Amino acid sequence: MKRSFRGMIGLGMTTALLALAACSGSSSGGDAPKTSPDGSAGPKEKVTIKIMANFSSADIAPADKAIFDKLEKALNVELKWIVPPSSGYKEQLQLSLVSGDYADLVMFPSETDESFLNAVDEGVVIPVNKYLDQLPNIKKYTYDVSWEALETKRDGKIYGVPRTSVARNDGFIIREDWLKNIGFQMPANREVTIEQFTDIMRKFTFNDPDKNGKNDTFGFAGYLNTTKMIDPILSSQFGNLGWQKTNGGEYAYMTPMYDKNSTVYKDVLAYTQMAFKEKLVDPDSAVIDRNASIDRFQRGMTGIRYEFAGNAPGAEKKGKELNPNTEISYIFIKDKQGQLKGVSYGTAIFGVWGVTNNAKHPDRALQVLDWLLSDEGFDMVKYGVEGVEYNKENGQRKYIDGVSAPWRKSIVRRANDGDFFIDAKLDEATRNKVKPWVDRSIETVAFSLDQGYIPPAAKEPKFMDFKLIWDETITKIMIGELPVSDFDKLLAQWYEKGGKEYVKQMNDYIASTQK
Amino acid sequence: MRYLIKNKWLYVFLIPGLLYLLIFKYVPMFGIVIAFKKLSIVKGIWGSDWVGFQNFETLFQSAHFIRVLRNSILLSVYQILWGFPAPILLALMLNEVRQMLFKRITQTILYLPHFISWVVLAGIVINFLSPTSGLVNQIITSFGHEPVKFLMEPGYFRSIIVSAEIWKGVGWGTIIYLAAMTGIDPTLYESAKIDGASRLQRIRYITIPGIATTIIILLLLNLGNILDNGFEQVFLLYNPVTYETADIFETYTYRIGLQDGRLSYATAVGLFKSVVGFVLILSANYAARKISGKSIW
Repeated sequence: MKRSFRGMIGLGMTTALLALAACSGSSSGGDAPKTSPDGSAGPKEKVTIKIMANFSSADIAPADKAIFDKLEKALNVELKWIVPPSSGYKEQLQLSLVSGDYADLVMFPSETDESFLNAVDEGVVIPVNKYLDQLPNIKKYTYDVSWEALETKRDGKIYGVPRTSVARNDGFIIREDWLKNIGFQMPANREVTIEQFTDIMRKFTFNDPDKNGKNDTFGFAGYLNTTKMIDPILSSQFGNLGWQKTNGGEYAYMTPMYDKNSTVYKDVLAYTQMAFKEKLVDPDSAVIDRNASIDRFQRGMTGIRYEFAGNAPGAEKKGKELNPNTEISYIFIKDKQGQLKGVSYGTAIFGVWGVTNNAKHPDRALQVLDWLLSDEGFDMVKYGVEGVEYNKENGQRKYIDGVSAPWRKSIVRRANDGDFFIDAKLDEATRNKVKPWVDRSIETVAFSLDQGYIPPAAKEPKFMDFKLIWDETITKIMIGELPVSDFDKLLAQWYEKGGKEYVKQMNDYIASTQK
Repeated sequence: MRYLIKNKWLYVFLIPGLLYLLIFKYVPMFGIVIAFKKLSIVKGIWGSDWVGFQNFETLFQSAHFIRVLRNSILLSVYQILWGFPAPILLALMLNEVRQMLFKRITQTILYLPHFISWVVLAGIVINFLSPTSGLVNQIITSFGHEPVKFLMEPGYFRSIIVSAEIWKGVGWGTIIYLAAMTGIDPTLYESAKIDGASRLQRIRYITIPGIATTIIILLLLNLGNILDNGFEQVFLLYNPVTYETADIFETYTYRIGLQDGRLSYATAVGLFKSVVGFVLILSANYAARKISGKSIW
């Protein structure tokens, strides 16, 4: 295993994969849209659409196939799926791109991922503008900000179709049974102040919330994210809403993180540091990953975890398997002004469908996505196929035990449809309990103006080099190994190492997007 | 020619192995050319623009180069210093066991960790050393001390990795030495016994010289891989607080190569590692030949 991994990341694998690129070529870009003579999206000629996707399961389940059978019949296409193992998707994607052997429709991890940016730069991914008028559902159910983010080259062309992710201001799942044990009076709207939240964390840590007579619990469950960083416990609550318009000063747009004249980001760091120093946070947080953190929450070691509201019922179910007393609920934390507002740093994009220059029928490939977003298609995407995944009894869906469809929800989503993310198999009462939380997280979201843009300055070696120092210092400040005041020194260094150019380029970019 | 015809089947059997080496080991080596190019995924390797030694200049000018180099070398040195003798010692001890049943059971138990993946093993290490629920810290706190956050202390990182690697690989590593020991002529032991040599003397004057060639070959191979520390174990156990001692070429290459998509630069880093390994293996081979008269070639 050691050797194989070495090969994967080092010279061996890189060169092995790229050797295939030596003879790679590219076919020319997509042809003009083809529709039937009457203009409807139902061409007669049957075509094969190759799709490379990142799904949790590599094999198609019968319940998923049922949807695609209907799609193939409706559009007169044959879908050919290329689904590499999820854990190696990124490598497989790189391999297919450099070898020139790629599908018609390819799922890229994000609009800022290097593989996508390179593919756009090199013309592997073609613009979709000219097809959009024939794709009413894609147009209708995509955020404007997502389209803007996919104008990758700022040339007015849109390079892909976003796999929409509902933009949300998520709150926290919380042990409701512990709240009862510490006697906390929760407001009806489940929105609490920062002070109340801190008080809950303290009581969860020191007041034996599980009543087992032992001092063995912690308020908050943290973890290392995919970039090996711990996230601050609270952020937007201190006014950190990403890139926003300033009220004068050197720059027209600024984020508190890089603002030399703002204390907001230091407040964010100071809060997390306070929680670590007071031992309100699981001390393993800076070592474990998200899965381990979830496991520790389920085992009753921690009482609060940052999470999407739709996952609360699942967390309760898992928790009950270990402790029948487990009750999970949800809370939001208001900002210092008493408002509930959180930022979405991204652009509501959770992956991009890129149409490649290998596609002989780009319009037909895009119609696959459009059909899945139509009322007919999306009902099946959301709930499954009647008679295959569920049966209707008294107007209610009764899901068939043991039938799963792991692919259907990983292809398209509709903007602002939070309901999509609530497990369809849950009973109606539970769905109705969770839905207001999901809706609240959608209606209180604010977008950071950067739209996920990465300025060219971020690609400079000295800037990229400094990221490591940044990550190290921020983590050490958060866990209390360095004082918060060290952030000033860090920020000054950051500006020297290319941050000044970064902020300038970001300002130029944001100004260009403001109508 | 007659010799070839006479032994033709032996040469036929060689063909698959040689083809494997050619296709999977030698042909891909041409890919190292991208270390000197600005790789374009459309133009391919040969069509991409040459950038000369720019990627190497960037590597050597990187603020982290010295730290990554130091961490890689130190971790390897510790792995060789502690990890290399461990299977030899274990093999010497197992070789002295006369109870075959006990010997076989012990060997089997010692091999088992080799089959545990690093993902699982890292989870075990994290749990074992956890400041809240880890066994080690439970012992420490039972003596009235404060729990130690082992995995958040840069000073402990190398010891943890090396210890875990030894535990995982020591049993498996004994196989080759035990095999080498079976090749030693038993009459040598019998003669030594008649001459009154003690068990330790027999180990010192018969067993160790008997496996010396194997030891030297494996040591040379280890030296050649001095900048290879193993990606998984470090990646799974490090975090920003321990970058200071934990960031090695593998993790550095992973971040810049895969996460940042700088494949040419990542290849340059890989090539640098290979060149250092090649120089080291040549030097060590020369030194071994001069000192002991034994070497790979």
